[in-house]
Formats: sequence, C-alpha cells, structure tokens
Amino acid sequence: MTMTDTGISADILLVEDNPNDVELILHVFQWCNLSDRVHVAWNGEEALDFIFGKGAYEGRNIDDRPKVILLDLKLPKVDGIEVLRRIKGDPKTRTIPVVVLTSSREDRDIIETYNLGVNSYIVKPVQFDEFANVIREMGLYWKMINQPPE
Amino acid sequence: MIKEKKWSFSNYLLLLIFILIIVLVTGITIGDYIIAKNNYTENADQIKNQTERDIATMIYAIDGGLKLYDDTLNRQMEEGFDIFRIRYDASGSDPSRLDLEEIRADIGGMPDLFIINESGVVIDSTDSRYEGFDFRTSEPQFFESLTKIRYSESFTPDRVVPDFLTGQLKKYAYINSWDHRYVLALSLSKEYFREDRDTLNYTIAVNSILQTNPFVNNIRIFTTGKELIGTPAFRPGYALNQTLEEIKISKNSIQTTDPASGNTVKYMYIDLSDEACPTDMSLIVELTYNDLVFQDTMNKIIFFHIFVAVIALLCGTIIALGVTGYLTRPLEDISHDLDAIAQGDLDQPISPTLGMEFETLEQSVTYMVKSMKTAIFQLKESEERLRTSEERYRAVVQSQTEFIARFLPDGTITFVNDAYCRYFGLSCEDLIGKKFLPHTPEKDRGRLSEYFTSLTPEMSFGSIEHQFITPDGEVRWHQWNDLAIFDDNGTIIEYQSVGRDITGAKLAAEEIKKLNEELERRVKERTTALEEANRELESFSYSVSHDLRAPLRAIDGFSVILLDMLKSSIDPQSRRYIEKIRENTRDMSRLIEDLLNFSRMSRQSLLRMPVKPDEIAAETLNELRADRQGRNIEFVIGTLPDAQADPLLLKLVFSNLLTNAIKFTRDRDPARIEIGALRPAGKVVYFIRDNGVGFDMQYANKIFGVFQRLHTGSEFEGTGVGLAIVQRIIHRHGGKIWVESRPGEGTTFFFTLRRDHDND
Repeated sequence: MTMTDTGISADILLVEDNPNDVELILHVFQWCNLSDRVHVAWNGEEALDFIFGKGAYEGRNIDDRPKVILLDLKLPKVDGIEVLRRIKGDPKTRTIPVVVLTSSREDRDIIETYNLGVNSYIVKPVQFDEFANVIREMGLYWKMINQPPE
Repeated sequence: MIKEKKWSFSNYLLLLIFILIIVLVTGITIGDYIIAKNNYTENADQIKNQTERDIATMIYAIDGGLKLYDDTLNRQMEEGFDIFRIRYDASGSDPSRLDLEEIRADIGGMPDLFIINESGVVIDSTDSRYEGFDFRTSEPQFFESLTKIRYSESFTPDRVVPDFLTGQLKKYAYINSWDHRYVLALSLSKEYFREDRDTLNYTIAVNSILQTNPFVNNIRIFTTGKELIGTPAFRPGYALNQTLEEIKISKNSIQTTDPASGNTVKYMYIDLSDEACPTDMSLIVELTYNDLVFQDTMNKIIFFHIFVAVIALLCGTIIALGVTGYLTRPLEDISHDLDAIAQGDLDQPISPTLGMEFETLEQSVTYMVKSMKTAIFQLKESEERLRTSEERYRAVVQSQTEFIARFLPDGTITFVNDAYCRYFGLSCEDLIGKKFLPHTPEKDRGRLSEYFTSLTPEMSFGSIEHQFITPDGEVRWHQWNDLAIFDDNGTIIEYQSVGRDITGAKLAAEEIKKLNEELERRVKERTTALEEANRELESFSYSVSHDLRAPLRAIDGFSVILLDMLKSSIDPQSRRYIEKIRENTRDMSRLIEDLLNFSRMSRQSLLRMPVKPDEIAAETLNELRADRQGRNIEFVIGTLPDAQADPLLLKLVFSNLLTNAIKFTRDRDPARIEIGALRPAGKVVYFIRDNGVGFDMQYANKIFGVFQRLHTGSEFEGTGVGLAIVQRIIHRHGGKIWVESRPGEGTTFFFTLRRDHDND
C-alpha cells in the first residue's frame, strides 16, 4: 500500500483499486514467478503520477517505462479511460503496451478503449481458474515475449 | 320575314330574266335585221346589175337584128348605085346634066337620090327638101364621114336612121363618084323596109323590162343625137342635154340622183358605133330606179323586225313572269311555312316542292325544326331541372345554419339567407339593397379591409376569423370563407361570404390548447424522468457488471487459493463446502450475465434486414452440439418463410428456445423437436415444438417473466431469464410470442416477427 519510493521501477504496472483483485492477480503472478517487478497503482491519478513521474513519484525516471500496464477501467478519482487517453496522448508514453483488465463487457467501453489505442481488452472471468489462466498468459506474453520499441 | 323595304327575290329574278330576254331579243333582231338588210341590198344591187345587163344585152340584140334587116337592102342599093354612077359618067361627071328623076326611074323608081359635093352641100336630090342642105354646118360629124366616103372606093351602106330633116326612118347608102368630087347617096323610105322590122323596137323591149322589174320606174333611150327614141318631138332640157353630152363624149356610164323625186338615175352608154357605118348608132339609156320601193321594203323589214321583237319581248315577259313565279313560289311557300314555324307552330309541315334543291332545303328545314324541337324539349327539361336544382339549392342555402351573404364591394347586400338575418336580428327584406357591415372591434377593421382587397382572380378564395361585437356589447368570434367574383377586367364585382359563429369552438380550442400545453409539459417531465431512469438503469447495469462480479471473483479466487493452501490436509467435508461455495459463485455469475444481456437487449438498436430463419435455425442447432451430446433427438425442420429481422437477435431467439427444448426433453427417448411455420390468414407464425415435460397452462403467463422458473434448479438448470429475453426480442420486432403446453406431453412456442397490420 505504501510503495511510494521515488526510485521505483517496474516491468508491470497494475492499475487496480480492488484489493481483492490485486491480491488475486499478485497471487497468480507469484505462482508463475512474475511478481518481482510488479507495481500496483490504486487509482488513476496514482497511475499517471507513476508513469509521468509526478506527485508521489516526483523524480522517478520516466524513461524507465513498464513493459506493460494492466489497467482497470472503473477507478476512483481518474478513471481508466482517462488514464488510457493520457498515456496514448503523450508521445513519450504512447508506445507502452496497455492491457485493459476489467469486469465490464459493455460495448461502449470496448469500442472507446480500442479507439484510444489500447493493445488488448480482457474481461476478468469470475471463475478463478479462468482468471488465473488469463493473467498468467497475458503477463508472460507482455513481459517475456513481446519486444517493446526502445 | 324581313319587313324592310327591299326588292323581293322574285323581282330580282324577274328583272334578271327580263334583261336577259331584252338583250337576247335585241341582239337577235338587230343581227337578223342587218343580215336581212344586207341580203336585200345585195339582192337589189344584183337585180339592178342584172337589169342593166339585160337592157344592154337587149339593145345589142335589137341593134344586131336591125343591122341584119338594114343590110338586106344593101344589094338593091348597090345595084342602084351602079346605074347612078354609069349615068354620072355618061354626063361627063357633070351633075347638072343628070336627070335624077330619070335615074330613079331606071333604078326602079323607089329610092331618093342625092348628090353631095365636097363642101357637104346637097347639090341635087329627088327630095327637094334636101336640096341645098349643108352637112358641114348642120352635121359636122357626118360631114367628116362623107369626106371619108368621098375618098374611099367602096360602097358604104348606112343604117336605118331618122332623117335629119323629118326624122322619118330611112335607109341610106353612100358611094363616091369616080372622080371623088361628089358623094352619091341613095335613101329608101319606110315602104321598102320589111314589115316585121317594127317588131325590133327598143321601146317595146324596154317597156317589157319596166313591167317585170318593180325597182325600175322609167327607162328612156336617147341617141347620141339626144333624141328620145319613140318620141321624135322630145327635146331634152338643159341639164339632161349636159348630161347626155358628157356621156356621149366620155362614153362612160354615170349615176345621179333625181333632185325632184330623190330616185337613183343611171345613165348607161351603149356603144353601137361601127367604122363602116357613117352614122353613130350608140345609145344612152336612162334608167330611173324606184328607190321608194326599195326604201319601202327596207321599212317593211324594219317594221317586221320591230314587230317580231315586241312580240318576243311580250312573250319573254310572260315567260319571265311564269318562270319567276314557278321558281319563287316554292320559296314563298317555304317562307310561309317558316313564318308559321317562327311563330311557334313547330308542327307546321314544309310544303313539298319540285326540284332537288328545294327537296334538300325542305329536308334541311325539316331536320332543323326537328333539332329545334329536341333542343326546345331539352331546354325545357333543363329549365325544369334548373328550377328544381335552384329550389333545392335555395332550400339548402336557406336551411343552412351558416350565414350566407352576397354583397357588393361598397358593402351593399345583394343576398342573405335566413340564418344570416336571424343571427343579426334583422329581416332579410331590410338587409337586401342596404349597406350592412357587422360591428367589429377597431383592431380587426384594418385587417378585414386588407383581407377583402387582397383577393385576386388567381386567389379569389379566402378565409378569415375576426371578432364581432353584438348590440349588447358581447364579443363573439366569427369565421368567414369569402369568394370574390371578378368581371373580365379583373375588378371585383361582388363577394360571396359564408360565415359562422365560432365563439364556442374558439373557447374550446383555447381550452384544448391549454390542455395540450399542460400535456406537453407533463410528457416532457415524464420523458425527462424516463431518461433519468434509463440513465440510472444504465449506470446500474454498469455497476452490476462491475461491482457484483468483483466479490464473486474474490470468493472464488480465495476459495481456490484456500484449497491450494490446504491441499491434502483438508477433510472431504470441508472440501465439499468449498466446492459448494465455488458452484454458487458460478450460478451467481451466470445470473448477472443473463440479467445484463436482458438489459442490453432493451437498449440495443434493432437492425432489420432480410433473413432466412431456416438457415439461422440450422446454424443454431449446430452450435448446440454440446447440449445434444449423448442424446437421441429427432429434429424436424420445416419450411420457414423469409423474414425481416435482426439476424443476431433472431439467432438468440432460436438459441434460447432450442436450448429449452433440448433441456426439457432430457427424459425422452427419442426426443422430438420440430421447427416450422404456419400461415394463418396470410400471417407467418413460426413455432418450435417439443415432446418434453411440458407444464400446466395456468402458469403460461409467468414463464416470460424475468427469473420466473417452473422447475427447480435441481430438475432443470437455468436462470429464468432466457424466455424473458426471447419475449423482449420478439416484442422489439413488433411480433408476438405465446405458448401451448400440457404437462408430460410437450410444449410449443409460437412467435411472429411483425405486427399484424404489417403483414402482407
């Protein structure tokens, strides 16, 4: 909850306000040894601060970009759509892969996020087995397999 | 009939024919007269010429005859001369020694003897009257002949000529003396002539011509010596003497006019001269023509022609009158008949007449009268109809509750109906012919006059509403429909107005307007509320999808983690409970999913396009393979008519209904599921029938409700949202869905995809 170290860097930025989901996701990452370089942002504002090195993350080297951002849409303060818009609207951060990970299967959310340039849209399954599979595959893909532009 | 003073047709015709006849008769008469006159003149000339030739011929013939007679004496006289000359010789050429009486006796005693000397003087003669007669002075012409004879050698007989002194006819003959000193002459008196010589008489011959030729008045024959033959005593007057002298010298014929009678006088010179004969026997014939006879005949011809012309004119006039009468009588008859028709007697027949033209005319007139009769009949009929119609319209107009009026542009009323009079409380008689304008408030007056003048021939009809103030001061509303009537110049001549009191309607309309506004306001409020509710629903759905599933995920997630942590140390009972927890999270998740689908179904826009329901049904069945696993199901897919529908939603319908059918036939072997369509009354009704468990129809109205289930979850799994979704889809297409079922026998779902009135 208080990982506000300014020098922090992460391969995976998880933007999620639900502590249950955070714990479950981290648990899955742990199972497949992906949890060492995960940073959790609990709301949209924090996520943006982390990415752009502002607020609590003032001074963070913003060139040290996460390999993937897992973004929930329903967030307190600044919502996921807005976070996505800011990331994709800035040339410096535009190339960071963003995967929307949400409970919503509303069409308008899907369409809007794709319009903003999201790289993937994943609906969180209720069943943990499926949920775990999705997280694992997605984490592995974006962290290990995908080659981001330098 | 035209009563104007004018010549009648018959007069014109008469005049025309008369002029024609005059021209013809005059032409023919004049022509004939000229021909007759010419013929007659020619004939008269010919007769004249012929007469003249006859006279000449006759004279030549008589002269010839006389000559023959005269010559018969020559021989005797020649012998006489022989003796005479012998005696002369014997006397030694001395006449004084000659005894002429003695010689006469020797010769025979009959002729007279004459001796004429070279000077033309008779020196001796037996006829003492001639002794000393000097020819040179008395008859110079004859003296020349004597001189010639004196020098010639031959015997020269003369003709029987009148004696110079007595005029008695005598035959003379001459011969010279041998010595050419004297001329010896002998004369025989009448006693020696042949008796029939008198038959050759000029006078008699001429008289015969006179008697046979009516044109000749008188004929006189003169000798060149100007003696009138037959009348020895005649001595010509001066004029005649001059004329005769002139002819004698010129030897030409001349023609003169007798100044006294005016008759033509012709003088013909008949040349009877003979070289051998000392006396010139030529004659001058004076012919006096009877010009009166000629003139008389000409007059007769003229008179005859005039007479004939007059007769012809008379006949022509009579014929003209007759023809005119004949020709114009039918006209008069017809005109008489037409007069009768004109005076209204249409049954008057047209008198039959001769002649094709008149027959045609008669037929035409008869036809015309027939047409007139028909026309009059029709006119009467239409008048009757018009009158009936007029009465009907008047009744309609008068019985109207609407105010009907006609008025001139200056406001003078020309017509009002009873309703108008009643309304304004005035009698119709008082209104007509008067200027009357209902009392209107100040604000409407300008608008009204502008309105009335705005009507044009192109837009002659108008409508206006305005207020009217009753004598009691009450304000009423009027509505008028006005028609302006224009003359040919486009000037308004009259208005026709139909009006009504619309005060009640006006008030009602205002009430309605108020109510409408209120209604509108309320609808707007409702709509706003509804929109708000919709937004809330959306927000709710969103929350449901997000917030309701998150705890479920947590429950399931932590259950799995718990199981993983406990692993083999967990007792079977605990494991079963944990599994139960997980199972319920799944059910809950499905419920949420269905609820969201149902909610989405209401909001999603409907896409209508042509679809083939049988293809969609087959495709759906294919996708339900998993559900059919291990089942013996007999599928019957009938002919499904094409439809206009949203293909994805229709597929959802089939999917839900077929899933149900498969599910509720689980106990059947074989299960039978039929997909088909009915076409009652042109509608298309699709159905899906199964032989499954069925249900009691008293719950039929419940099964389409959300979360409404007729079976327990342990019997047949399900959330109870599927049929609610199906019904929602069908309703959104405008169709209907209903069910028929019997417990233990099966269920049939029927649905249509269009509203009833949309069906073709």
